[in-house]
Amino acid sequence: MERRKFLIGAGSLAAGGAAALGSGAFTSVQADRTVSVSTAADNDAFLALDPSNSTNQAYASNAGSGAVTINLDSDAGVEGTGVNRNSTTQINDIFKVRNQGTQPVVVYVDPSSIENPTTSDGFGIDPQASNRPNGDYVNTSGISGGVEDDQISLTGVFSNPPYEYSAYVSDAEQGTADATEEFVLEAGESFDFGIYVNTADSDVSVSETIQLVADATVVPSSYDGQGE
Amino acid sequence: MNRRQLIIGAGAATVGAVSILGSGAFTSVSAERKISISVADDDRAFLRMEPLVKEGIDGEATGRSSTNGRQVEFEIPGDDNGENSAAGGVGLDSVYEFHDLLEVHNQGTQPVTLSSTYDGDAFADLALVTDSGVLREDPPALGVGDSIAVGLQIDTHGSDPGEFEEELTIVAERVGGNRD
Repeated sequence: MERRKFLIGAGSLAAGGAAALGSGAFTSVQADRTVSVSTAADNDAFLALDPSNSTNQAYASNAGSGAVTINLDSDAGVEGTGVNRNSTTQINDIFKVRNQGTQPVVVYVDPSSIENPTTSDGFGIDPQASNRPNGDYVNTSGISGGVEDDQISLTGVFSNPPYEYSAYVSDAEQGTADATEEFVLEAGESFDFGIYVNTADSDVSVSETIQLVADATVVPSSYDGQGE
Repeated sequence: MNRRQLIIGAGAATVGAVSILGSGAFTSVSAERKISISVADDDRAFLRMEPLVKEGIDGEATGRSSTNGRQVEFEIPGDDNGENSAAGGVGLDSVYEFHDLLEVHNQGTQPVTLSSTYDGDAFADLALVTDSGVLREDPPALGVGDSIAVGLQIDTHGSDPGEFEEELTIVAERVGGNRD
């Protein structure tokens, strides 16, 4: 990739001008510096959201051209046009979340960004991670159908969840380093992003935006690679 | 050290005012005064800025910050071996932070605050950032001889896919403002 580079003299001149004041040396410096940035579509970004090898990629669109959208409506690339009433629907592996940076990150969804969180009844959604490379959490057999063994709620990293989840790190572990390690992706690693939808006996048509976060600064200092 | 002589008009204005009082002796004076200025590279300036060679993949440098020998510059993704070669760039509708790209050192004689401004239009925002947040409303103070590691925050809400060359203004101001 070739990028142009050019020099800007303003910063140097400002520094020199300050020196001329003599008394207090530098009082103010404003230095203009060049920042070259490439932006990329989701399937190619540092935090890649890539449906290309996902089982349920039919529910994702736009990942190759901009910001990915999940369609659980007539825009989905399937015959159905929505989730059932009075049901829980589990769709795993809509796209892969892959760390294409250079260091481990903790990946989660900010629960406050979810407009309709899951409740015991009524309409709600909860984003899920499965097929995860790190952590040791295993779901109990009593959990609802379609949930994978290592599946967790992406909002489960928070110590005091404001609502119910379909699957999450056990109560005793929430907020601990051990629980946080479940959400780690090292450079090159990925997990499957899925979604859990709870519905009541009424039609719902919503469009909402959820916030996916990847943060290297909250990787527990105890994290030492696979498994723990 | 390379010094240059500059012509300054201030002295002329004072002398010129005298002439208006009526002596009539002359209508114009051009007085040259000498000011010594040294323009330094970033790594030797009063506000010293040096790229931090951030360890990337396999402990190699990412190249996200560098210097052309005179001024520091940033490139995301980096162009060195430690960068993840799979990464095409920062995603859209996102806020990315890359910490610890640049060390800023106060080599002046007064404490300064460090912040940044951006008035480009490729991004919703572009700013210096530390673990404590963006250097803007409540910028950190840098004592004489102190240094701070800063990085970049890039807000791509509303941005298009592509390559952009933008300008970030790094601002160091004397603590308490610029008046004595």
